[in-house]
Amino acid sequence: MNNDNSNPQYWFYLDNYVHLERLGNRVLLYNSLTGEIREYMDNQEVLHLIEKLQSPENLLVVQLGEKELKDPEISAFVHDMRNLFMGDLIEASRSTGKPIQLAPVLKLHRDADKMKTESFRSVGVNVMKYLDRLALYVNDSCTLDCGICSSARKQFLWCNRGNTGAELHIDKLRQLFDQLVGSDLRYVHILGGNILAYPGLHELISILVEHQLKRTFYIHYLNLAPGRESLQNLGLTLDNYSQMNVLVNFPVDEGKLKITCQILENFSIPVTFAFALQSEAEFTEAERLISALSIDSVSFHPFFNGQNLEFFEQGVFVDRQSLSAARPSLKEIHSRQVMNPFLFGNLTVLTNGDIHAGINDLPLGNLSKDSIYDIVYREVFQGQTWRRSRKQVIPCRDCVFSALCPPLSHYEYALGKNNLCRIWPLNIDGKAAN
Amino acid sequence: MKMLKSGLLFKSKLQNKYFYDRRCGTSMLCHPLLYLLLEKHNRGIDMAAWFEETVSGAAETVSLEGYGAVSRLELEYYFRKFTILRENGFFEETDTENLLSGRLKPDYVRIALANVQQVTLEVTDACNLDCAYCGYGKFYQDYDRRENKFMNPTMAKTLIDYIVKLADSPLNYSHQRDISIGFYGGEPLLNFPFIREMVDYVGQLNPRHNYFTFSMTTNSLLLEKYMDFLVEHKFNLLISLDGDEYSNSYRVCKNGSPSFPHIMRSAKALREKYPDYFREHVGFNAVFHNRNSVSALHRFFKEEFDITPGISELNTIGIKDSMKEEFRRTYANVNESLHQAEDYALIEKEMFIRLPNIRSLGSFIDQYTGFGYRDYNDLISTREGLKRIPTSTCLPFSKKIFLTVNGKILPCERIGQQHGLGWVDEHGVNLDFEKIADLYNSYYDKLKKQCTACAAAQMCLQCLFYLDIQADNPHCSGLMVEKDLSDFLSSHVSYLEEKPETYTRIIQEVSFE
Repeated sequence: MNNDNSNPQYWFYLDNYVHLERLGNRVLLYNSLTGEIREYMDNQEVLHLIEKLQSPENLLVVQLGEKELKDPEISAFVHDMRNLFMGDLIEASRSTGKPIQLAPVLKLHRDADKMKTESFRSVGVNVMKYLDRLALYVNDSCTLDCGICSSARKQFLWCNRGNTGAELHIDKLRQLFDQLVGSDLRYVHILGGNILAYPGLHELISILVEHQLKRTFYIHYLNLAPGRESLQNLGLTLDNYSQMNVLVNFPVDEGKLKITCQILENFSIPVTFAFALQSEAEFTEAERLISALSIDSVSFHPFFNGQNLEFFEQGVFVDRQSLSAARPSLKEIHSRQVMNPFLFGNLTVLTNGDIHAGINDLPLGNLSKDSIYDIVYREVFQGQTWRRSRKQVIPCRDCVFSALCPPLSHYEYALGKNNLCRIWPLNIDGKAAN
Repeated sequence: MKMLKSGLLFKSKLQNKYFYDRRCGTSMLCHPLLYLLLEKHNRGIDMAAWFEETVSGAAETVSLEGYGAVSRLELEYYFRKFTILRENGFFEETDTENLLSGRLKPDYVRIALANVQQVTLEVTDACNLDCAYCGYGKFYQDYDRRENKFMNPTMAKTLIDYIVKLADSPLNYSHQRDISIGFYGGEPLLNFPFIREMVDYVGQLNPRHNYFTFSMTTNSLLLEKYMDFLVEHKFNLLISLDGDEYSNSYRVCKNGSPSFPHIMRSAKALREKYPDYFREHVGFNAVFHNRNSVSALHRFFKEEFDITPGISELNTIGIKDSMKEEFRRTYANVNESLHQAEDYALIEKEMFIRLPNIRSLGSFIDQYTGFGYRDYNDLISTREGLKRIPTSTCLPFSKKIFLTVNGKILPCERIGQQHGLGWVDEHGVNLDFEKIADLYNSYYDKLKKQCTACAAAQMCLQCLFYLDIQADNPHCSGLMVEKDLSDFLSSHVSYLEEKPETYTRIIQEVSFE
């Protein structure tokens, strides 16, 4: 190694808390400790250097001499990396040979796609450990006419009026939970229709108590307002495992919402008011109601009605700043590369018994015909929902930001596009400009 | 409360500097100046005060002992980097006592058995060979007396029924996964009627979530006679052969004659008749000793079978005092032999994960970089506040259950037979999960003091059954002080500095169950 005083040599390296993505002529570097992002495009010197850093022989360390460091592009890049604490230079004379960096390459030992190719391994190992949450649509009868429910429940957990009289038979649910003793199921969401009209509710609650499962009841505020008796129908076991989500959508009957709040005031399980919002104005109104009625716990759910894209662009779409501010960890980035951490482990059972991993995806089977083991195995094997990452969808798969972005949600279906972002300027056809 | 420093500093052979952060579970290359700051931090110096004192009123350049002259700006830069790392959880102390306070509960044992992957049956304790180093031979004292018994099929069926009942219960959290029935000896083919009966028996069982596969370790002397059956049922076969004639010379027939020609003849007959099966289902295991070498083994199996064998060192646990000297002469170390090999690079390339040094490197990459995840849940869960059960001992039955010819139940065939956890008799299977949990917890208690003081406690590789665990105060041979762990980390990073491409190859090719 030439390391005389006239031509000092350095080891240039990247820190391994830095996420590096190179696609074509674009490079993204992200510091998972600070949230800083740097992008390089069409910079041949930097691209070449990144390529060298990423090669298995270099493990994120390359030698740079004075000559390379005088190159303005390389110099600016190295300077950037140092300033942002993403990389550094070490004088080569401080050791007797080249160091390595333990590159942040994800190793998932039970990667389902890899296991499928290995005859001596089975994708089915421990699959039931993956089941975490169940959403049960126990009935579809409801006397309200909110207008949004059939679309809203495809975007977030929300009740749904069908009025077909369909409901999940309690015996089927008992069989279901009896199969789940060895699973890691922790949460059950109970939704209708109006669940207070579900005849099996008391028994369902006993089953959930017996299995020590955390449970959340979803009830529209107008179904609670008539009086306290309806709440008694819940027969709630008031323990730490129960909570209620009171659903509110606009226009709001403030008087009835007030009565609901009064009814729930002395209710001893945690209550969250979930607002479905279609516009900034509704958001403002929701804030006023929350303040006026002294509501403690709330959640907001933007609802796409086909005409409020602008509201979503402002409130839901991500951009460089919001991604940086969210500061996903390297582990979160790794998970987003191979799975959907948002939907993983969730199953939804509809009143007709159909079971979905994602409410907008095809059913995996039916409660009447399939064992829950088959359903979970099918989902892990196929990877239709739980393992679908942005790396697999257009146009995100061609974007260097894909692993920084939040996982795919139900909104992508509702809006009919995967890139709910303002990262790239769009062409007329909606595709990201290069 | 036992607190261990989180940031462990180490240097490679090339004098490059790194640190491993225990709390964050990651290792990284470290600039020498940052390394110097971490050294000071590890010595308990208040770094903010030290920094203020060092830079206040200082000239443009300050001189630091152990580093030399450094500009004030540079020092500020590395202090800032140190601060960023600290703000993100690096260099905080780890409470190992709390971390290792996990306990085995009876239910865990029951659940493990409902999910057991392998049922190993000691088909017979009889053998048609008389290997000098046999695990049930002259060197060892930790096994039940060999009486040329054959396993009673009813006993084995009782155990299998018991397991299938559990596996069919909701305690089983796997689906469409195999349970491997392993036939083990002695020489299992001496009791072929038993094997046939068991294969027929499990063939008519129809477990809800599992299917059965078969495996066998054999010396192959009777292989030609039974190979059609083994092929028909797709047995995964492990043939014991220590290499060429001299290398295999500890493996002798009862009359003292070499077994080598018999093994070679039968193995080649199998390959001749069933080449596809041979390629997909047959492996070799060579016991390593003073009459073979890694190089010779590699060459022999390559030339004879175009295969890379597994290599096992002699078990060093349970040696009789009177035999220690002879054992010492017989024993040989795979790594030493590998390093003496002329064709080291080729052997390493071809045998790769079958070599202990690469396996150890694989463990290092998995456990000390922070980028290895067991499964999808591991990727989305937080490890914060996780309580571990001490040592690296498998939870009982989490991988396998071993039934001896005498009806004793053990968690593994590779441990001394004094560690029985239950038995099978005419009344059925006798396993008391509470007692098993108590027994394991009592072993953990014996090691607790050593474990909480161990620098490698979080990443332990020690099975407690390979210690004298029944003694009052067993000593853990895997116990590491910080220096030992530094040396361990250094050796692996030094290897990677020499052969960096191995890192990527391990990540791509090696998966741990």
